[in-house]
Amino acid sequence: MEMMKEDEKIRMLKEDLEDLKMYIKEFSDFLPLPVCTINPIGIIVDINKAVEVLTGYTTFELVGQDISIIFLEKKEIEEIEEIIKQKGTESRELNLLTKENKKIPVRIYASIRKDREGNYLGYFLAFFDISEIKALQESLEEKVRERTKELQEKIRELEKFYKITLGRELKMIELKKEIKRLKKELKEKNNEIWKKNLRKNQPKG
Amino acid sequence: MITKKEAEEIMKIKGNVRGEGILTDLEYVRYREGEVGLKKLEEKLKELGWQLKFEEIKSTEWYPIGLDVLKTLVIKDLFNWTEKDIFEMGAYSARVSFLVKMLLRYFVSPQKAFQESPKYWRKNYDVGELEAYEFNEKEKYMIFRLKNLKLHPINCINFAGYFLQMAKYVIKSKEITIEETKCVFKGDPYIEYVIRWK
Repeated sequence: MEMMKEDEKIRMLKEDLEDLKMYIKEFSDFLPLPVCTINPIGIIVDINKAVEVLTGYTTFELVGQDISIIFLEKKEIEEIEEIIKQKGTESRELNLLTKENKKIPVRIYASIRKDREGNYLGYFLAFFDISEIKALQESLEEKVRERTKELQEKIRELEKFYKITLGRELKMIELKKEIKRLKKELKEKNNEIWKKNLRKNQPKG
Repeated sequence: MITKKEAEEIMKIKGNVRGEGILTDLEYVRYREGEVGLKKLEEKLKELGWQLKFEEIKSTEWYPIGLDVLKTLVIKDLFNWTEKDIFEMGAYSARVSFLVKMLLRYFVSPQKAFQESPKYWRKNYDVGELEAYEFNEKEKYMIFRLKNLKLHPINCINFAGYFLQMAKYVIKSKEITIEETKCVFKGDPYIEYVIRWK
């Protein structure tokens, strides 16, 4: 079998590299999840199309900037970098700041990058827009608050009703006792009268 | 506007550049002037006698460096760009280049990046040498020298934008500047850039 010439090998390697470049670009453009590549000093070195769409910044505006530019919690970003160096990954909720200064709640996922020798190269940072989930959560919490308020109102009404009915019940018991006492008193009086009459009508001897 | 004769002279400059360097500049033209701008540039180069189909340029292939110079001059003329725009084009190139993204893997510290930069030059140009002359972390400056390279004054501006952006990748500072302190077109033996930060 004829040995491949050096030029031919280089040509094939170049073609492979071009294909790889195209594949990465196509995949990155397709990926609906916004992903950034961050270098060891916190500078954005690459972003995909989804980042442009979500933040409103172009690649030209964002690449070369500090990652904290697109987050409200600047201090937390520094903390995250330290955590990634120790743990390798990190996930938490933050607020993204768009070019128009609009705040978008996001959940971030960060994962460390290393070279073959194990040197720290920075990290990948993906973020997921959770504004719809947050809105749903807030609407559910509002509903729960409303229901709780309604229930508390009902409980108050029931307590009031209970107090009224209980008062009436106690009065009835009192009245029944009074009737019973009066009945007894009446009976005793009648008995006394009867005895008196009996004595009066007895023949004197 | 550049004449056909001037274009011929420019194309005589010896040396080659990787297609990636041309592609990133074209990407900047697309960003600023749109597809229409790119079409105009292609037509103008054809008019000057240099037919180049942009979509056929391969990032790893070598192309005559004269073509890179000519293209930059035509861009400046055609779109009435200033030197600042040409400087920005250099910075843009360092922001979007696929080769830069791969290279950044090896820039684990400012010193390492400084030491590695001459190798990077050789990967992109087969003429001239980039000398990483001095890195002074205490005084906060670094000096690069481009030797055995005489293209066109417009390239000195373009390179400055490129080098500044590369420095911004490795030095965390809100104020980084670049100054061309020596130039072959001003009688100096080489081009020298000083990058300072605070």
